[in-house]
Amino acid sequence: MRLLLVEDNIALADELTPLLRQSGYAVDWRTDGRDADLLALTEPFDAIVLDLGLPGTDGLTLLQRWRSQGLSTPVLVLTARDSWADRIDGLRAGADDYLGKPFHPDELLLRLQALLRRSHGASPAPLLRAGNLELDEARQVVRREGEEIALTGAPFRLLRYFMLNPDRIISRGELEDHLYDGERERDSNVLEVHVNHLRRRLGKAIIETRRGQGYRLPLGQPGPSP
Amino acid sequence: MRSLRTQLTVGLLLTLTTVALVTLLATAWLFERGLRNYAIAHLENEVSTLLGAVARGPEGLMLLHERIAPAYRRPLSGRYFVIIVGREQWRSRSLWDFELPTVPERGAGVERIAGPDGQQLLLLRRSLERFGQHLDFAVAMETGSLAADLRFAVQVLAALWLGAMVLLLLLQRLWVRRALAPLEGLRDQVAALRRGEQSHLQPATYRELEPLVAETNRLLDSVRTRLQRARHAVSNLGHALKLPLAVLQQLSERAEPALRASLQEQLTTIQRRLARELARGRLAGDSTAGVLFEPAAELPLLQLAISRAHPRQLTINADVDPALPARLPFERDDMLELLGNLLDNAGKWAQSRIDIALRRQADELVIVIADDGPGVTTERLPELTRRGARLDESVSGDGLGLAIARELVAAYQGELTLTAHDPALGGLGVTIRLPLAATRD
Repeated sequence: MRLLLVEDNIALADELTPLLRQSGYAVDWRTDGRDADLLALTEPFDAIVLDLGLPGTDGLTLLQRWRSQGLSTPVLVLTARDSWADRIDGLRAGADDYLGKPFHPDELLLRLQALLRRSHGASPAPLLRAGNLELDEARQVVRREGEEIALTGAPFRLLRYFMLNPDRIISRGELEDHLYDGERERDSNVLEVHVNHLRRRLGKAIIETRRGQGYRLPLGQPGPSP
Repeated sequence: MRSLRTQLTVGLLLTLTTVALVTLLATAWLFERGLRNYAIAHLENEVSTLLGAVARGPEGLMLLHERIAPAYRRPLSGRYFVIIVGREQWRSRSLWDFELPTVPERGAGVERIAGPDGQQLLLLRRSLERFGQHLDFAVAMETGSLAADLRFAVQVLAALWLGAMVLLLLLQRLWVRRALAPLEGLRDQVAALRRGEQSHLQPATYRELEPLVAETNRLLDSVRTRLQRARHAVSNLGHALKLPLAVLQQLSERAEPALRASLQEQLTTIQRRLARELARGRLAGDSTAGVLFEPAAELPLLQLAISRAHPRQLTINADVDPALPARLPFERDDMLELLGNLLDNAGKWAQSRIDIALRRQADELVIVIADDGPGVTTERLPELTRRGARLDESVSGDGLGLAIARELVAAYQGELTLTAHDPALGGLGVTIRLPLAATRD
């Protein structure tokens, strides 16, 4: 999952970026509204965390412009202007959720998780489900038929992306776009390594390779690991 | 309270009465004076005639009765004379047995005396010489009937005045009502202002009211600007404080567990206090100050905001009474803050469902918010209530939203009551009554 964090307070962003990365998000961080404007329209972000009081272009204006240009990426507004009237105005401008500063980090992660689930048509249940898999995003643990398997950063991110897009063929390009931020060197071998890691942990059938097309998480049939 | 209408009526009444009294008194005095002058002139004339009737006879002076007006011969006719010539005294037959007061020696003048048969007489005395003889004349005429005529004339005049006064008073009431009509119109406009149906007073149609209208509009603008400025200042202050707080909150995550716990406890206290004071600072408390609350436009987004804030399966049922006006006479931001806080509180406790109902009961807006959460125990209920009552006590935990809501409700002279277990859903029930028509008083 790739996030665009638009936050002009460097101290806060310095704390948020590692938090988000630890939780398995690829984060691009911008401090200026104009930079963010362009980036959001060109890069395939899964969600945008937007501060409203920005230099360059004001956050609310930015959000309205994105929506009028047809950008449907879910946006979580993160701001100190958190009266209920401000929240309603934010939602009206096209925000998907609104979180007032200061906030508890868990709250932010929970809201982001719900936002991403919703944008992929999943229900906001505590655990992400796909087939017989259940993913606990907070603990980065996948559960299958009562068995808990802990995952490290990269395979967790990969599995989450597959579970949010079950039964769909996902190209390598798409995976790279959504799992790495704009600064990371892209290496398709690394992706292959992570897919293999998942197969080792969860069984070969967990992810299918479609030659020339990409990968797929098939729903329903993956059996227990051999 | 004093009434303009009464004041104008009393003023007019006093003026009219004074003018009427002065006029009537002056008229009476002038009539009286005219009558007296007329009578004196007439009596002087009679003296001349009587003098002319005095002739030289065989035995000295005598009075030629044929030269004297017949009225002097008819008893008690109202015309009398006595002429004293030396020792002799000639009396008019009309005197009958009445005695005119004895003529003082060489006295002359006019006197008012009581005559026979209740008559009022004016008596003129003159001393004249005729044929070398000294004659003392006393001539009297009755003036009572003339005076009665004059009195009647004055009474008619007084009656006319009275009629005119009644007419003027009636007309004046009409004028006053018509003159005050623009004020009534202004009052209706101010009421509409409070209901939020208009944002300014219409320009006045009367020159005298224009300054009032202009000043009121200026005042309205200034109140609105001040509210906006205050909200901006509060918002900026909030922004300035919340950013460092957010950073501290994140930083505290890195601290060792014991330190983190106490840091976060302190941070939470600051945060709650800040949230409370910011909410208080934003409070408008008056619908004339800003934009009105439109349930149809705002509730869906509010529901969305609440369900986003509590990311789980949460159904929020909103039920708005169609008898309510589309725009309620409460300031938008205040109402959003009120409902937002209460719904958010309900969202924390609800299992899966929150009901919000906006109803009209007589002249009140009744808002009921209930959830299907655990509710509170009856013992805890007074505690929640007391917390809200003590405004400056720092509120902890779940009471914050309720405390903010209480302050908002109080600002609109409303009433907030809690139900430990909502009869339908079982969770905490909050009922708010807000007067819809504080404008008509």
